[in-house]
Amino acid sequence: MEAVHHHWMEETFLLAEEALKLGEVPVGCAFVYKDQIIATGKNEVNETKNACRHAEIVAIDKVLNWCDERGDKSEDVFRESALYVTVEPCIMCAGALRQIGVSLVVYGCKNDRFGGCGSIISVHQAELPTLGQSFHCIGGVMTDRAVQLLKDFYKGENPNCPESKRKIKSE
Amino acid sequence: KGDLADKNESEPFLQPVLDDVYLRPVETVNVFVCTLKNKKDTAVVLRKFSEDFPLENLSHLKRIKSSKTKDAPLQIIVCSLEVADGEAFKNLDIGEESVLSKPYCVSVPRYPPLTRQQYLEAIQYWPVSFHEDKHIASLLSGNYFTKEETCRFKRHMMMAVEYAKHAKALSKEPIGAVIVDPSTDMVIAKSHDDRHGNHPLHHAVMICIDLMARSQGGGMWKFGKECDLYSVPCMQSSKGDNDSSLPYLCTGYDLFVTREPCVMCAMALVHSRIQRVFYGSSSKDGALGTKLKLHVQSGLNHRYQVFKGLLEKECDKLFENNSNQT
Ligand SMILES: [Zn+2]
Ligand SMILES: [Zn+2]
Repeated sequence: MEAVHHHWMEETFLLAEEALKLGEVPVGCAFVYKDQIIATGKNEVNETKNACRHAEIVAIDKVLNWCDERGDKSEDVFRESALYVTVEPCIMCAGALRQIGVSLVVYGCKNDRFGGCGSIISVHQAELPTLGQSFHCIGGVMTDRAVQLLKDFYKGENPNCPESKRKIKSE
Repeated sequence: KGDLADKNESEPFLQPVLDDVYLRPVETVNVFVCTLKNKKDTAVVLRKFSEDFPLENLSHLKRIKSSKTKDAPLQIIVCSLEVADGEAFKNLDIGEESVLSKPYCVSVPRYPPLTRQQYLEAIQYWPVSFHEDKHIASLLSGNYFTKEETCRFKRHMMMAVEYAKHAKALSKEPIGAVIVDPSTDMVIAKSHDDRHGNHPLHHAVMICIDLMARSQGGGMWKFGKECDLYSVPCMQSSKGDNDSSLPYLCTGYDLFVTREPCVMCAMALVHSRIQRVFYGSSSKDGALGTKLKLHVQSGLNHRYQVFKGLLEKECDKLFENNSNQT
């Protein structure tokens, strides 16, 4: 089981590194359905000027498109998918993941600032029936690598940096 | 719209959704108290107790409770129950027949009162000090907004209701949202819900936030035909935001939404740094007052003000004959 998680997580880290290169908060994710990645996402907050454009939301959009093209029902696909993401989903994304009805989320490090799967509140398990069913979380997979990426990002954010290099911390 | 302003004049509306700390009833905690037998010993005992047993987490409590009646005894707090483990208590020179009575337990208010109501309740137990927060007091007074302001708010909410009606006519979730810049009274974005269409995340609030980003050349979603409905005024940034790489945020903006937002939308508003949210009717799993109070959630880096009950009847009516009841 562990090895499988590592395999998919490797993929999400490539996306997080890409985000970092583009000056975005380094978070990457992938939806895995029937043993294959059907959609990936990385943080695109600065690119889209939308503070809600987190990796998970980007990937959800792509899954919906993927289902559309194949004529699959997205509810069915989401229910049988797992989301792999480098950082614990934030409160907003945890809410989004319940609405689409994903059943498993595997993540790297905790999200101390906005975490919605236990760190700030537990949206994934909260009693919110109209939001959709709760989902299961496995955290702490390859934590160190996820933490190091975030450290690299926030290092470039000290006040001595030129103004234009400083980004809004959004995930 | 004059009739709107005059109608419901006496009805309460626009209720602030405050952190529970302002609304909770007084909680009590037990402390050890002695009775002072002679008033002349007050100063000495008081000095000894404040040195030996500072009331660390209970600094809102007055140490001495005196009674109005002349001959009634003075009561003095020794310490909280946790501090008074058996040993420490033995070393205390209290219980001396001549000065103090044997210590006994008394329930006192655990937290400092934050509102006048809490203060009045607290002093039923024990004297406390109270520093009234002017802002909170004003919010609770019911006169926080001027008539002119509430008129404007109603006008914006009416627009959200119109959008919700449109959604209802299309068999969509009857929820509408409007983002306004209160400094100019200009509408930045308007939307209605579309969660049961092609995209489960197309809640009215999420769409509205995206439209706002779009008005600045950002935005993430494409919308179908209904997009014609959504207003996206093309305008230059009024905020003097000279760093074009930063996301466009709702800093300083107000959101008017007919239905209490869910946790996803409420957090999207935290990320977007909204200033104030006004909503009409509550929702079953709502995150701004009903199930959660995300706008005052501790640990988050941004908080916003929330007011509920604006055009509540009109907003409730939207959900008549609606089976979804979110
Ligand atoms: Zn997120
Ligand atoms: Zn919502």
